Amino acid sequence: MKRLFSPDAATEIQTLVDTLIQTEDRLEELTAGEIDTVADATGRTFYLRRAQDHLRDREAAKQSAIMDALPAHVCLLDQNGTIISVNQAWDSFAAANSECFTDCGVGTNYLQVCDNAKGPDSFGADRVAAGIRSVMRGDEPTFTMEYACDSQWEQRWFLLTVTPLVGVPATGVVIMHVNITDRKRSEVALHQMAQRTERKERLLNSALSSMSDFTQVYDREGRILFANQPLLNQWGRTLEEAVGKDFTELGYPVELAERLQRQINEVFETGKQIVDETPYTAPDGQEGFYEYIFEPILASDGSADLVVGTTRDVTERKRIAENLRTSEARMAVAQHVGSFGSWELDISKPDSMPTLTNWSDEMYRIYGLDPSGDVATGELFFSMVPEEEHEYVKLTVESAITHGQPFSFVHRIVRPDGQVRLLQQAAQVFHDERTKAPKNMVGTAHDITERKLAEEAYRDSEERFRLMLENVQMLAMILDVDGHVTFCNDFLLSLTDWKREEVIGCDWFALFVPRSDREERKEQFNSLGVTGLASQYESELCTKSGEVRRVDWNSAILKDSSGRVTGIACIGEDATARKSLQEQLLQSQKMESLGSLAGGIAHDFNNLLTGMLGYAELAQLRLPKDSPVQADLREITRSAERAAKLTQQLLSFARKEVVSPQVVDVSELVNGLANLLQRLLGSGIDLVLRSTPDLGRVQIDPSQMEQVLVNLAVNAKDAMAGGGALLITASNVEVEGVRQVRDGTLQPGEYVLISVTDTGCGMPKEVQARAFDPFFTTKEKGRGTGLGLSTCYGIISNSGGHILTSSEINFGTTFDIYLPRVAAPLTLLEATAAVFVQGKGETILLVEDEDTVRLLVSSILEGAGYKVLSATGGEDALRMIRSLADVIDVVITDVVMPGMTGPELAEILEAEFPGAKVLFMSGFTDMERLPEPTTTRPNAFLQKPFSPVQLSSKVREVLEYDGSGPSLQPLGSALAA
Amino acid sequence: MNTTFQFRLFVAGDTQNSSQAVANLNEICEKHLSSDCEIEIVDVFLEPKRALEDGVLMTPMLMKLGPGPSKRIVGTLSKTETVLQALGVG
Repeated sequence: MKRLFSPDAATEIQTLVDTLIQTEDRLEELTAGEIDTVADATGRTFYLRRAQDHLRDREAAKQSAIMDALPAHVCLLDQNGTIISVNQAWDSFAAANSECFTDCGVGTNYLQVCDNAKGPDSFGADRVAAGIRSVMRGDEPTFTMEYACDSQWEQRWFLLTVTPLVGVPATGVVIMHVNITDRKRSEVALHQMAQRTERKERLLNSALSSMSDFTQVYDREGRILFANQPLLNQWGRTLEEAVGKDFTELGYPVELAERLQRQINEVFETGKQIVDETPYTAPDGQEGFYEYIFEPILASDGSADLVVGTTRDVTERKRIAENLRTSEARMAVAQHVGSFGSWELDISKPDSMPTLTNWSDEMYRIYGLDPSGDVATGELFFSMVPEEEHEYVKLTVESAITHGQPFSFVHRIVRPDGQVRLLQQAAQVFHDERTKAPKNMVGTAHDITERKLAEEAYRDSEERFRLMLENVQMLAMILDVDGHVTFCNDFLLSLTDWKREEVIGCDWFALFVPRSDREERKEQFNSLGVTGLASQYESELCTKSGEVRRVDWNSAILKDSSGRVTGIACIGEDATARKSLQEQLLQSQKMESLGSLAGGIAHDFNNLLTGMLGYAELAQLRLPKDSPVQADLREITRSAERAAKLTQQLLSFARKEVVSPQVVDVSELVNGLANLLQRLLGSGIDLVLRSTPDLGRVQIDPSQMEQVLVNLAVNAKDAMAGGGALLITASNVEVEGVRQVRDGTLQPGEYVLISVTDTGCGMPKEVQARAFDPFFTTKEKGRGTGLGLSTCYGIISNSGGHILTSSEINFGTTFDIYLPRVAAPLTLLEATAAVFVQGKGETILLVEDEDTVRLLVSSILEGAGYKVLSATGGEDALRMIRSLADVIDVVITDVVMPGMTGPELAEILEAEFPGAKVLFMSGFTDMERLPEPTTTRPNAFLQKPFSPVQLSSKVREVLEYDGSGPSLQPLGSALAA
Repeated sequence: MNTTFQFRLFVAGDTQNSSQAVANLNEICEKHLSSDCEIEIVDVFLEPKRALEDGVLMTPMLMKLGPGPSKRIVGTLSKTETVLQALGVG
């Protein structure tokens, strides 16, 4: 060995090395092995041994990890071919394939192994050995070889790679075996695929050519590689002519050619298909659309190799789609306007809930949902139905499916915001054409909330209107254009007594308008349509029984929305009572003035009659009884008496008569009236009088009682125009218990009942009811006053009695007069008055402005043995009284005189000479003018005309008055009755 | 009071002791120095100049820059109590 260092140098080196090792050991010791590096003053850092070992170990571990991670079997050979290192894959492969990899671990010479391997299982080991040597020598940079090495179960291929380690010649080589079985298989498959693809291409070609669509294949330059037969026909070229040409060369318009080329380039770039369309005009001028698709054929690396174009005529499809779009848009508008949504349910699966397959946007709005947020499902819509209607909705839909009929129903929903809406669903079930099973249900949902509300509001208002019309105390009716009743209210029915079913649909004019007015009213009605005006008028209305009511009508023309007249609505007021009251008022005003007139006439007339009667009677008294003139004078007297009666009647009408109730025997009174009544009734009517023998007495003014009977007889005569009989009966009756009668209460007690019965036509109920009303008359205007029965009623009532009526049509009428019986004896005025009473020489002052009456009275009184002083007026009389007071026994005075009246005179006398006796006489009484009688001074009254007998009797009565006794009636109370 | 510990740890790549020192320092900071610690790790192979400036002779070496007076601790920092005492904490 050649010496490198001198012995000294070697020794020093030895020392230094020792020092180095010692230093390092000491450092380790000092730092407890906790440091890795040290640095010198220049900043150079040195690893300590410990750190170096650590780094090295880690490096080696790293390398072996990499080697072990490799799937390839790797080993490292030194320059002799000995294996110095193997990876895990190598080891495990060797272990798994021990039959062919015997002894291939570290330390084995790989070259020898290869050299020794011979025979069919050597897998070309000799070539491997040669390759390794060639790489080691640097003849070849690397050596690779593929070889098959099948295992027991499968075919396998391996790729052997030999690469040199650094240095030439190499310091060793890396041997790597890679299993390439998969790649090999892929190659085989690829080959097979290529063969199949070729076959497919041929098939495809023929298929494409038989299609009506145009199919073509382009290369990157947009040149035709292939076109199917229909397209070639279109171009008028053979495939050979077409191949290799671009769009321009094929005669496409420049613009289109450029666009197509651009799109093909895009497909090549992006690898994505393009679908587009282009309009065309066929040679026959027909216009249409082609849709074309450029689709890339992708190579294995994802890039486009070729582009296939498919062109199709879509003219028809586009037209249908366009129509569909238009109609869908229209439908959407219609749905929005009509606020109805449409939906479709799949009901083909009977066992599961129907599913919503289609719905319109309007459904969202109706259900208050957000089209962008909510997902429409049958469950969502159903969940908005209130729970209590779930069953109903479900059953309705199920039953519709079962029966397959179109159906419609209404239900509520609660929108998400809480609003309740009313929906009307209308739907129809469709069946599968083949199986006939229910397939789907198509329906619409219509929001009818507003409509319902409006309907209800309308119904409410109509109901209110109807109620008002029904309950108002006015007539209401509606007629159609033909005048038929289409509506009438209860008031109209109750007033006319018709039933609604008898009225509705009937001719108004035939039913309700009096015959006499019918034509005129109908004509007016027919002209309403022309004028079109509302009107007010008064007309008569017939009730069912024929009674005529007077009605004030207000009518309005009814028109439909197009302005056509559809009828007339009328509201009427029953003005009968009002009109009749008006007439009554008129009548009573008339009577009032008539009364005043009658009173005035009666005054003068009575004076005249007093003269006539008085002188006639005087003449009778003065003439011998057998004088032939006596009979004539009697006739004069009788006529005058009749005239006096007439005046009395006149005053009765004017209700100005003086009432002097007396206790009378009714049968006597009736009998006394018999002749008069018979004359009144005429010859056609028999008068029959009946009375109970022991008939009770009543208190009543006999002349008034006579008037009652006369009035009743007159009415009876009118009721018996064709003759008949009048029966007047008088009997005693006992009324037991209180009896309610028409005009009040018939108190229990004893009565005389006077019944006046005729055999006439009788009175209808409504006439009976009003028979006693003043001014009510069934007689023609001018024939009756309407006062007859009301006067009777007034007289009987004033006498404490009642008058009742009962009547039967065609059989006659009975008036029953109840008068209370009285126990008092009969008043015998007539009897006392029948005698002319002589005076006893008393002095009488007679005050009378009327000469005839004054002279008459004066001569009667003088004839009776009185001294008579005469005065023509009150003032004159007063003067005489004051001078001759002590000789005057009684003053007889007229009531109405110019200047001082009788009562005024009486007042002064009473003041100056208390107890002075005064007798009033008058043809016209006014109770206010008579002073109240006093206990000391009687006030007596003599009704003109009076007879001398009456006068003599009355004067005597006054003269003999001693402040008591019944002969002098208190005048005031009598008049007040 | 500023209790933020500022450390600078000098290491030599990923040698065993240096790696341990980094791990131990992190643990000490986390468990014992609850307040924030700023740790700067300086690789003497990558920044030899800084090692020279700080006069680092050995790695791993920890320099406490604050608070208080600066301290240097050499080693893997595995004896926690000793380290804390040295830092004036324990």
